Amino acid sequence: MTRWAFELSEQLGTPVLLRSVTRMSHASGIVRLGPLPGNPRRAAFRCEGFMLDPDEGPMMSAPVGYRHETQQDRIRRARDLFEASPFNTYEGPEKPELLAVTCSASTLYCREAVSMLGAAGRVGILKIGTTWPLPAALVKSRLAAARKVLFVEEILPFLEENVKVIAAESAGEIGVKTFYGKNEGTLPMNGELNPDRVAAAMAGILGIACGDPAADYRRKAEATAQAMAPQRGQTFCPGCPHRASFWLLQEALHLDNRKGFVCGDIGCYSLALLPCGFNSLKTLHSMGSGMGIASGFGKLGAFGMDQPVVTVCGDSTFYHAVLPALINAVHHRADVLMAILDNSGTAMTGFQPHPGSAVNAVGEPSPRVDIEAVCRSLGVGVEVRDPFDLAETRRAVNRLLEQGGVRVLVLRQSCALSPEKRARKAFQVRVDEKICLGEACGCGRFCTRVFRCPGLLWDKAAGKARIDEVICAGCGVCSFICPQGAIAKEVA
Amino acid sequence: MARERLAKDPFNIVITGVGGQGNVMASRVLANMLAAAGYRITIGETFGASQRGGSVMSHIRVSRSSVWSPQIPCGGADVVVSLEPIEALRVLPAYGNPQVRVRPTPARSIPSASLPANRSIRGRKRSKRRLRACARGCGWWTRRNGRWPWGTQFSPISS
Repeated sequence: MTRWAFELSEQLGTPVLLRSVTRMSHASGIVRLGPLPGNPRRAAFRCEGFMLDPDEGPMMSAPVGYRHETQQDRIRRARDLFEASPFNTYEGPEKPELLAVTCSASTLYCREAVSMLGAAGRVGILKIGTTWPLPAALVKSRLAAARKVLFVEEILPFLEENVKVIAAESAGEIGVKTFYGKNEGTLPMNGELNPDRVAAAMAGILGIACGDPAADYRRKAEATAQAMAPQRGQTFCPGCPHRASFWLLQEALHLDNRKGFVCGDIGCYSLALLPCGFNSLKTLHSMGSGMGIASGFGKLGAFGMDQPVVTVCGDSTFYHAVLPALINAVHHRADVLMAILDNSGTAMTGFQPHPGSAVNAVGEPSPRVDIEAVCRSLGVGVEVRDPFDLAETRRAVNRLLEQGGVRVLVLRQSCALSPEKRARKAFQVRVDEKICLGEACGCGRFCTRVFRCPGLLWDKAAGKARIDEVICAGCGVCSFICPQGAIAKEVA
Repeated sequence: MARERLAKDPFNIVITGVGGQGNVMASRVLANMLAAAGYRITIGETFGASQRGGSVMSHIRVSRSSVWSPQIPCGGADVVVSLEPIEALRVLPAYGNPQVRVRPTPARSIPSASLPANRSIRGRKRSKRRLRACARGCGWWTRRNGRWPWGTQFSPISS
């Protein structure tokens, strides 16, 4: 279909969007690759025609009326092509009791549901590959053959609403239909569809009883899982520099006692909403939103707000989405401390290069864009610290928290999983059993209860903390947090 | 089309484990192998926060003739491959059925029909022993001395 989308784009002189919803982006199947075009055209931008020439004329939106007319014409031509497109298919009886109108992966759920219910003789499946513009004549002909219509599609009821328009326009011809879908609640408006949800919807409409024959098994399995499978709490990896960074930020904000807070965005560091990041993050939206929201909060001093505002972003996110918000904060003189958690890579998605890398996306050497130089060029004071050097970083955080205006603190330490660190520990870390007071300490198992690095264990038999040498990454941060100083680190 | 008939068509495989163990890799290797043998394959992956140390799961649908949905229907797993014993337990309520055999790697097979939830304490203990025996096969587990990194004990059932 992707290949056809390119051909269609050339044929109609228009962009074509390939719409991938929900499960489509998390599933794979067999793809047969065709030959690549042997003789690619030379890239060029043609702009030498007359102003009204849609192919060779200048690329612009005016004159609006004329351009709008050509756009409407393109949509009409697309609709005519879609009427005969092989990507719009129908399977089932010619006069089905129920017509399922569907698209994308939901088509597979419909097929599966029909097979589960043994209803192949009763349900017809109309799969629309070209969801806009809709092939109206095809849709009309299929609607005419059924009285009940079920819409099966992910996200918004797009097909549902637009097929209903076709049905309303041709009601005199094809008769009145009963519609089922997201609007009237046969299928849920939220959450992902699956074969079971679609089967339950079809069974309800067709009056097929579909009990769960293995309900007893499922109940037992559920009880066993609850009793024996502990929940895996989401956490930073052992040796993750974010744990140290959030430890210091949260500690400083807590001791500062003005109810300061951290605005975040999307990255591994989003986990700082959770206990593993000491619940530091208080806002979390799209990439770049942390600085955007923080710059707004940073202007509320005029209305009496005295809470320190901190924002965090990763190095990759800094280049991708934070710069306009940072410039905005500088321009409007917001009071914000921005901590750039620079772990030297796009860690969450697999270390893809970013503008701070020495190579680009295709592996060619490329110039590094320097975070500090970019910030300094905006007139912002920048400090760079290693979050694993906790004492020094703590001083910097406390000092910066006292200042006004936009301040940038780069917390630079490579990701624990980064290729350069792999299988190499900076420190051998161990709990000195003579110093660890265990349950008698009074810290209440501070290391495993509060700091919560997965590399720390509470040895119930000994009543003391222990290092899990298998997964400990040797960052040595825990030696800093033990109130008794019982965790010793030696350079490995 | 593949020559070998499947025990059931579509044949549904769940591969489950913990992020970082190679769950996605295992499902790709198996699916590529089956595709090369001529089967029609669809894989569905976990989405959301599938991260290192978190629960992950892949669905593999294998058929001789047709393409099936990337999600296995409720109770529809024919085989559950668990790279981490505990994850098998988590998969069973949604995808298991009394016939499914659970095989935590690298050894031993527990018939999942003998799930002990509703049985006597003795039955539970027996099952706990079985699971521990499976767990012992994994070096990852034994080194932890029956404990999770985040401090939760293996089983909350008191003996």
